[in-house]
Amino acid sequence: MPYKHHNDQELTALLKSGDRLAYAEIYHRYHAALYIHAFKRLQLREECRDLVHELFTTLWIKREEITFKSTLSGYLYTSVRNKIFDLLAKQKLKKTYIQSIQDFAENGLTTTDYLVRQNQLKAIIDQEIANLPPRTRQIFELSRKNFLSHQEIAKVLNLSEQTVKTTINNALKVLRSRLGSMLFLSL
Amino acid sequence: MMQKEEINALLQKKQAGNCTPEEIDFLESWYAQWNKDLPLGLTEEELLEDLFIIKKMTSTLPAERKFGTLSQKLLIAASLLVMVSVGLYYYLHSQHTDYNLALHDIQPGSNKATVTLANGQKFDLKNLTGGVVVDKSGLEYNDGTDINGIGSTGVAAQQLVLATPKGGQYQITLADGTKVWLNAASSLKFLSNFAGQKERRVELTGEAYFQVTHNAKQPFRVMSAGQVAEDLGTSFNINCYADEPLSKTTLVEGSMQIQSLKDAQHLKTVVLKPSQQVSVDADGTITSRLVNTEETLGWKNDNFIFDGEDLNSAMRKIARWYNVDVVYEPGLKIGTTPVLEGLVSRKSKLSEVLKWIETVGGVRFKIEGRRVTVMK
Repeated sequence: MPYKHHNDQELTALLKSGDRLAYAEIYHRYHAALYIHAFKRLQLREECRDLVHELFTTLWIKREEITFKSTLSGYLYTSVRNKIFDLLAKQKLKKTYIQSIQDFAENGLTTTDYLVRQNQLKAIIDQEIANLPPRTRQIFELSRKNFLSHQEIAKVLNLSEQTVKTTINNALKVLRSRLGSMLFLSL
Repeated sequence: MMQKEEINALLQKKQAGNCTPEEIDFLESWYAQWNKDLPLGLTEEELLEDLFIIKKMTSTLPAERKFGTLSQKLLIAASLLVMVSVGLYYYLHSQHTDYNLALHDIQPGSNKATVTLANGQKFDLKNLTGGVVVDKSGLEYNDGTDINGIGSTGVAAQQLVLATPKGGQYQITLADGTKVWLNAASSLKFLSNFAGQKERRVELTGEAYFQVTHNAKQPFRVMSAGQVAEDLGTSFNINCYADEPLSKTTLVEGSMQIQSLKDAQHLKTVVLKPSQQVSVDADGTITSRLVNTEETLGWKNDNFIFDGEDLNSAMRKIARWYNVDVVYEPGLKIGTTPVLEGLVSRKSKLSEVLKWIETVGGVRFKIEGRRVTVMK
């Protein structure tokens, strides 16, 4: 799959030109991270599923208009945050965030630099993924970073290429079967 | 202290896009540390389920905005399909079955068989009563209805073969009144009329339960791979599938004897007592033990009964009854454990049986088409 080898910038350009496979690859790389992030904040499964679904729907429908100010991941992470704020504004959620905002108003440190906050957000999402149970993380990492060749992964993990190949194939098999192979956008 | 109302007003402003830069700084800084260090709070199963549902929702995309009316209708149809699918998912899920297992579920086996005449003609037996009988008027269903096209087969003695596929079972009453229940993927070769024969000889592959009408003058013998079983007034079960390591004969009632054919030098004959099970291995070695015959006859009573059975053996039974292939994930170590204990109805859907094994056996399954994969 050539799309797995594209970096985010290339995918963004292809997406803008209406490339569905590029869209599918972006979906693969980010949907799990975005869902995990949203769920940790809201602890509401249905709302978070809808949220991620809407986010990707918008990404496709408005692909021509969206200006990706920084990076693709930056756009997606900011989008998920905005959508969560929208839900908070609708006030249909558990009220625990009120207390949290009150505490923050008392003791929290406000970061005024937009870019610093964006990097912070990226770091937080990375950390969330790092804290996942090992197998879930492996699945996620593979879906996000599979532009690495088996050889490169083998080098990083200090394993034989064959071991890596087998591990990845098994992980993907499990993933595909569990998610239903027909439902994959482009595999 | 910031009041609840203030916070709500601030969030409304944020949504409307009217916040000052300072307010945005404040909200986004708060967001960056909110629930940051909480654990995820979802099990891996739940997480994968959610990702699965999102995938399902999103897979109707990409939708174009340039759609005309017809396309809009299609889009609505697609949305409805998604709603139905998600509804179906929840329905299946509410049955407490794993989504993969439930979505790819497989129905249990049923009464299915073929009968082959001596001239090679083959007939499918319908699922009426699940049984046929050989009597003076020939071969017919055991409620007296004719088997379409088969005509009279009872007059001249001819060799018939009753065979069940994987996922089938059938019952037959032979000309001498002996009743035979045939399990899945099995066959019974017999004469339509035993008159004038020195013995009543039948040949079995697979598994069957026999209730023999005893006749000392015309012994009933079951030939199967490597052995001859002879009735001495008996009900017995023979399990001699080619993929089983042992051929097992279990006496339920009466008396019978087993002779191993492979051990020609010491032509061994064993006489069985009720509840005794004799196993013959590939070398013809005979071993015997006492068993719970309820377990042995579980299949005939529409149950899987596992009484300390290893997973491999249980999966072979499942493969035959649900007509599936069972494969094991590479590297999966399955010894003689887990040992399964319990009863599941053979009328259950495959997912229910697998779910039960998952809870007691410490393995997981997935179904793809007619293939079941056993995973750690």
